[in-house]
Amino acid sequence: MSLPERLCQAGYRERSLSDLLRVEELYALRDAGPRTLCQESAAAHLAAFWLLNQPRDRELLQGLMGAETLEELERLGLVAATTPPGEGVPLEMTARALLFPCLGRCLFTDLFAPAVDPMVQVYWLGGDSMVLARATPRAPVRRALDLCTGSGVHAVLAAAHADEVWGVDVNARALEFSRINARVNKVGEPCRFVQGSLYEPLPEGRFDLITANPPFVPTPRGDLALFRPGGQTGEEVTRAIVGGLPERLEVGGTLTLVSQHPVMRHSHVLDRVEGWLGGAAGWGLAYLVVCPIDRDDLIASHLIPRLQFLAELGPEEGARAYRREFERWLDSYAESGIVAADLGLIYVRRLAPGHPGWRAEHRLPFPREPISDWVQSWLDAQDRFSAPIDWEWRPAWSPFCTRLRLDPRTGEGFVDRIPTLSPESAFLLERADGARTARELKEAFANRFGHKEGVAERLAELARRALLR
Amino acid sequence: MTRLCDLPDRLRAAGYVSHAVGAILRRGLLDVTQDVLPGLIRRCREADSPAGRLTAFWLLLEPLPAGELESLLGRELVHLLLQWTVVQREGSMLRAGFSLVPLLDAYFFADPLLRPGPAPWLSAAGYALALATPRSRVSRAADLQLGAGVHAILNSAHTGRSWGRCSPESWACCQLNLQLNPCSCRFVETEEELPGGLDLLTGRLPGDEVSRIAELAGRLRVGGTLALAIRHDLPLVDRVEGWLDPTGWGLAELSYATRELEFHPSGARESVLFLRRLEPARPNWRAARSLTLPQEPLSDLVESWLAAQDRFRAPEWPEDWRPRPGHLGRLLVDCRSGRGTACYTCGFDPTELDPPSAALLDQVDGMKTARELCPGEAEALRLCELGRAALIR
Repeated sequence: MSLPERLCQAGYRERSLSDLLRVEELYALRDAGPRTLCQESAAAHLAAFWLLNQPRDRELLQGLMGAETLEELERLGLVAATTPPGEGVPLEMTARALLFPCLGRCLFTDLFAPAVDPMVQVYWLGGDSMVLARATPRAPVRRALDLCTGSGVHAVLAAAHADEVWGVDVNARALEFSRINARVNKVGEPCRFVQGSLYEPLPEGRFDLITANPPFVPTPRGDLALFRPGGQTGEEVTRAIVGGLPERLEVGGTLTLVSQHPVMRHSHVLDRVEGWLGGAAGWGLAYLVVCPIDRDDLIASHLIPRLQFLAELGPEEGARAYRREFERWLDSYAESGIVAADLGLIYVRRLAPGHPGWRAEHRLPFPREPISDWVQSWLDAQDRFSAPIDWEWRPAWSPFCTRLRLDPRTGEGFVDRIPTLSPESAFLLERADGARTARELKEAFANRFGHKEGVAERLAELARRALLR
Repeated sequence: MTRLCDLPDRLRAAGYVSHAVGAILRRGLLDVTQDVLPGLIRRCREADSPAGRLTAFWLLLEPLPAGELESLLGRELVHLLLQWTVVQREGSMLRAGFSLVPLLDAYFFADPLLRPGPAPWLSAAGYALALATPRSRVSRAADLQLGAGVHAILNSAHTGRSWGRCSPESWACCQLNLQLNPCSCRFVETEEELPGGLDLLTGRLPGDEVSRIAELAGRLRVGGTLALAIRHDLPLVDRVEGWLDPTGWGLAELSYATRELEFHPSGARESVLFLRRLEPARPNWRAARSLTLPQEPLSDLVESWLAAQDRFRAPEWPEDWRPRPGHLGRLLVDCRSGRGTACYTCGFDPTELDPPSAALLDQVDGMKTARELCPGEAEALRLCELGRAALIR
């Protein structure tokens, strides 16, 4: 049995561990207060060991993970024997890495505060990693590529539905983690990890799925850890990734890129993406926002790790220095036109040559569970319903439309995750039962509203919102 | 002669009101933290308005040139603020020594937002209490809470006489707030000095003092309400009910989630607990609801909700009563199951309704009588439930 299977069996999964550790997501442990787990369950011991960095008895760990596995982890330097005070023989083990469960896999990353140069620290599975993991379309593909792979999490996940997976990172330490993670998760065979900048170290050829979690922090100077700064606008690496798509993305293929996308005063992110691609024709562009971020919170989240350093200056001088630094970031953001940020995903789909292209945008709450199927349907619907509808089509609710609630006074409709539907759209959705054709719905619409205008557009729009199929 | 109580009008005229402050800072006061202070100061500057300058001065304690403050508030008022030492001179600049916070059309001095002292600004619990306390006109009210005197002064606006507790350390701030909001409120130092026979008693109660609820309820007269902000880790209503007589009491809990839950590993909840003294023979009632921590006053909704528990206990209404929608913002009906979701005009989380109740609520229009709406007992009971949920009146 593999380590992830063993751990999964012991209850080492995202949701149960979050409940156990009383955090919304496991990455929140980085900023959460100290925790003591009183439970004696296997999951509690494993969580204390792998996520809270608390030592555990060697025998206990052997029982939970297997003696051979523990030995291998010790050889790899992911755990180390430690001697409790007053004891001669090392009976306890301490983790030298974090181990995150993610969609049935387990991923090693550096500790939140590892004893390594911050420039080479391997990123833990943060909110951006989890969003990308949960919102990447998972249709089977031939070739997948994960750029800025870090721990290799997205390459490992892609291995479940791709024949061949490539992971790229400039950081050699990240590639060591990626290879270990692929091996531990038994996907070493289809996964290849190479060092270099974006597409540069890859052999010729195109990919059907490209995932990327690039450095994205708009930062006045590149002096933070390697995984963070993305130039003054935060989009330098994103721009290079998107700019390479004409060469590297297969027709029908999709880029899924997570970032804290800057909200700029004068341009929309999809306008910028279109510019980097060189035009709209032949590309489907979608933007999924899962969490708006206030400008000041964004800056503070990146400056707070420096507070410890500033505290050494004394409370007053430290506060002054913090304010000066904060203002320098504010000036830099003002110069770039950044007014806020959105944690979200850009999807770029390569369409058949000559296709005029399409655009879509949607907002969701931060997904706590996988939404890959919904994303796949949403993107596919943009392809399918960008052309005029077939009047013989019999629209039916998609699996993602589970409930339509109507306001009996106004006729407006409400569907989970979707902004208010107009009475006209709600009327059509209510009657889309898979039995009536679009033509019949048009007649019913005319009887109700006295005209037939906009029926095709409304049905297509409902389909593009993944409510109809 | 200029008085401190002239200040609120000047502040309102300059646009320094709570919703404008929220719009300038793009966050509530509970979210003003040291980490983002430079950004908030920049936002005030970017607003480039009197309200922006006053927000930076009164909430973020940024200094302002004396001439500029005088042009915003008037020279005499600024002189008065200096006399009261609410504002201090730093060369040619002036700096506030207290925060001056807008709340519910009033203003209150408190210790600086980011430097809490004996008269700190309201916490989430304090906000919830201020916004949810019923504000119908009554005779006598008291507040148990030590601090800046906010609740005692808010209570006094709708009561004949109001008392508040005040520590020696917060005495000066409470007196300032009395000068700012002239009212009949009297501050005392100990709980023993607070009178009985009250119509309203407000306060915050630490979790380990909840057993005092029955004793506090003894200070109410019939019809009076105890409103307590409480953080607790056990189902509270059951416990409190056990301490009360079997008749003569109504007990209601409004619970809300806070982001501070992280610091309460036992899963503590925050609530405003209402205990209403009924006529001694009236059977007890209890009710519970959850809400999203409000930004707007909930007092009318809470008052209706509490009154409805007694009024709609049973279908006993006049022949010609024509029910009207109560605090119903919007009724949504599931087009396939007929189940309803009743959304409120403010605050309360929605009420889920079974199909017959949703259909019944949809019929309530102030035109049909209760008899027309309810041909049978089942419908009448449903109408009572809608009443107790404050959806009809």
